[in-house]
Amino acid sequence: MKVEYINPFISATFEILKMTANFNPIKGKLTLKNEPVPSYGVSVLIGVVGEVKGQIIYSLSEKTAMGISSKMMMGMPIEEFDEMAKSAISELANMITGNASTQLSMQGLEVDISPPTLVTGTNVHITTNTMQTIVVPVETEEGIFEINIALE
Amino acid sequence: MSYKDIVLKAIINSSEKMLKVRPTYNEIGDEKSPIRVEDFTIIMGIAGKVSGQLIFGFKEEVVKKIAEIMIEQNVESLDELAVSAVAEFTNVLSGNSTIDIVESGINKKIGMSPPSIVQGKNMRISTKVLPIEKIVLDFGSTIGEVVLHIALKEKE
Repeated sequence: MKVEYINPFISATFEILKMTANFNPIKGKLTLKNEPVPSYGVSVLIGVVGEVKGQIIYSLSEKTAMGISSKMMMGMPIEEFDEMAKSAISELANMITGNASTQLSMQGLEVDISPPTLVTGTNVHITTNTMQTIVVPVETEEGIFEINIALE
Repeated sequence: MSYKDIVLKAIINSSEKMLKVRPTYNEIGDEKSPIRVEDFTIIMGIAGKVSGQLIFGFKEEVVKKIAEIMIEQNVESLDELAVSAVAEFTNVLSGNSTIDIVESGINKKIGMSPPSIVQGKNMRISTKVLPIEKIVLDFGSTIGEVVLHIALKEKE
């Protein structure tokens, strides 16, 4: 996987988290994984198609997801991770991936993205067929927001 | 024909070719997010003029049976080979579905992302794409059932 595929997702995440939740996140250490991606509880999957193909999987805990969605909705209290909160997190992932795909297009790589799917459950693992995933942990004011990039 | 009908027809025809069994099907109807899914689920993302998801749910025994037919050998456990065989199965079904959607007159490119295999317990999936149509495909007693969710919409 090329590094030029990675940076747009990192910069888009920072930009969109700042814009929607007024966060100033910190980037953690990047790692390369060759195994299924575990979920922290909530995962949002977005398919990437075109000259670069694969998946972006955003993973976060339910507590972090509730905290972020509350911030996105002007501090509205979120008592449970309901469909409205899920919708906010899906939209966040959609905005980040959309922003990154625009950046990739500007580099000359035509890509399109699928609508987000949000998965919750116990002990959830996600396998992609590229099998190589770059993991970018992003530390926000509400906890870790992990970006898993599996593109080829 | 609706996108659901086009996809269902493509899936029935291509799965019959691969598994040598023509499935019968039962349309359960529209479901609302979050939908319950099987412990072994494969999500195919569709992007372009028509976008959304095709979601395939399997019981573990069904994954093994389909993998056995695909790779023509005994499958004891859900190892990497078995999982990739079933991922390939859904890849072909979804690929043929997107071809048939394009040929139905959309006349615009549609792309499909590679399969994401999602495994876990008590899983729920939410998508904003509506409607989400649930169909159960029955491949008979030797293979079993595959639960299909079709969520596709035309881009505004």
